[in-house]
Amino acid sequence: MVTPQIDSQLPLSEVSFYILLSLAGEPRHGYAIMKDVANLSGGRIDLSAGTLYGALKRMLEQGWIERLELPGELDESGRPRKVYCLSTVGQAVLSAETERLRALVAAAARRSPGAQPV
Amino acid sequence: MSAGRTWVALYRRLIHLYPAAFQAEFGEELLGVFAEKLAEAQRGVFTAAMRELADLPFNLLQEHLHHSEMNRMLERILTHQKYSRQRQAAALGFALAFGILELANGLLQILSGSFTRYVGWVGVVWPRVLNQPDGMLHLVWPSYASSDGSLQPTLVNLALVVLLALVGLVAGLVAARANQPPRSLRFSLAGAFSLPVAYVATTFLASLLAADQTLPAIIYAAYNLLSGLLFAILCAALFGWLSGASPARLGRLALAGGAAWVGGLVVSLAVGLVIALAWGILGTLVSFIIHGDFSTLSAFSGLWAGLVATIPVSAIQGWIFGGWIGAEMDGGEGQRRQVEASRAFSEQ
Repeated sequence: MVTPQIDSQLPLSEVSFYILLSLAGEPRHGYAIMKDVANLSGGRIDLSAGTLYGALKRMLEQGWIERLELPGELDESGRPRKVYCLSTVGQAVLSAETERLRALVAAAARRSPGAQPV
Repeated sequence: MSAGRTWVALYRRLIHLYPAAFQAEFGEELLGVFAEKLAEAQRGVFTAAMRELADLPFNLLQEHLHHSEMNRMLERILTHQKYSRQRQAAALGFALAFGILELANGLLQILSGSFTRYVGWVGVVWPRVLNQPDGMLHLVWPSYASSDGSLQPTLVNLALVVLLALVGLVAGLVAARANQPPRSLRFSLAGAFSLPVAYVATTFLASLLAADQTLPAIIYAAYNLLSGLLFAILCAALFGWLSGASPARLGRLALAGGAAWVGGLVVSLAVGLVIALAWGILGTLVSFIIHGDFSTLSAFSGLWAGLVATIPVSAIQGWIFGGWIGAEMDGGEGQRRQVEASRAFSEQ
């Protein structure tokens, strides 16, 4: 069920949706998110580092994602690599947005001539 | 040094343009991701670096705005308006009240012979600069019948003060409604009192300035803007004082009032200018077709520009100003409830 708090966050921007979707599979570090978003969007969305971290910052503030340090994995400067993962709230937001998009596609399919029901 | 390293060194410097808090939290990660992106760039290092740099100005602006006090205040207002029906009611009540006030004000001006056609879009700032028959620009108050540039108080002035008191009453009621426990009477009286008092005070100051009719028009124009700001600060401080706000909070209220007014002014002027220009041009053309010359009327363009522009313009400003009143008087209660709701959801 979509709560009013989550409902008021929708619709998500395309970038936010793809970032959440990328983190739905597994925790990822910044560059992995960037590559996965490009992959998920068929190469259409090529995030810059600044755009990615601006979005991650806001998602952290909203409690949609969490940041963890991986002690075994080091970045280029030799520090533990930071990874991002989806929180329970983020998962709920992603589900709600997916449901919203599904409803939109279903409505469009009903009106499109010769379209198969979704 | 390779091209990639040169770009990374440049990017390291550019990261310093971000706000300090953002740099501290994400600076190293940003640089790391940028370096990795360049290292794996399939379409060349230059293309990959340009992709990053193209976004940089927007990202910088976004982060700086996100960290600014004004933006935090606007975010707080928007958050309140987004998450609370009471705040929405407060903002809509204000918007409606301001819209009605400006509509009545515009009608009174037209009836009393003011030249609203020139500056219908400046309806959000009450003192106006008008082009008078002698070719000079004069400060004219909408509450004065002043076709010759002289400042003559009329009944319109009194009517305007009464209208302001009514708007203040609405403001007080909506602010009281947004507070638990309700303190309706005190808030309502505070609202009813603070708006007209602030208006009369700014009017008085403007009258002092306008005593010398030969002042350069730019001074009047500057005062047009400043008087709106002064009105908001004065009104907010009075409202807070009469509502029993602590001295520490009073200064913050006054500053927030000024900031909300400026924000509302920028947005509403941008919208109002476009609307008024469009209607003003159309009205002037219609006037020319009907009367055969541009100087006779005007009532068409004046009426249209004045009426059409002032309603949305005032509504936008009222929405922002009213949102602030609801949010600020609420003292962050709405935001606290939002965080609690989010926490409760996470724990489920």
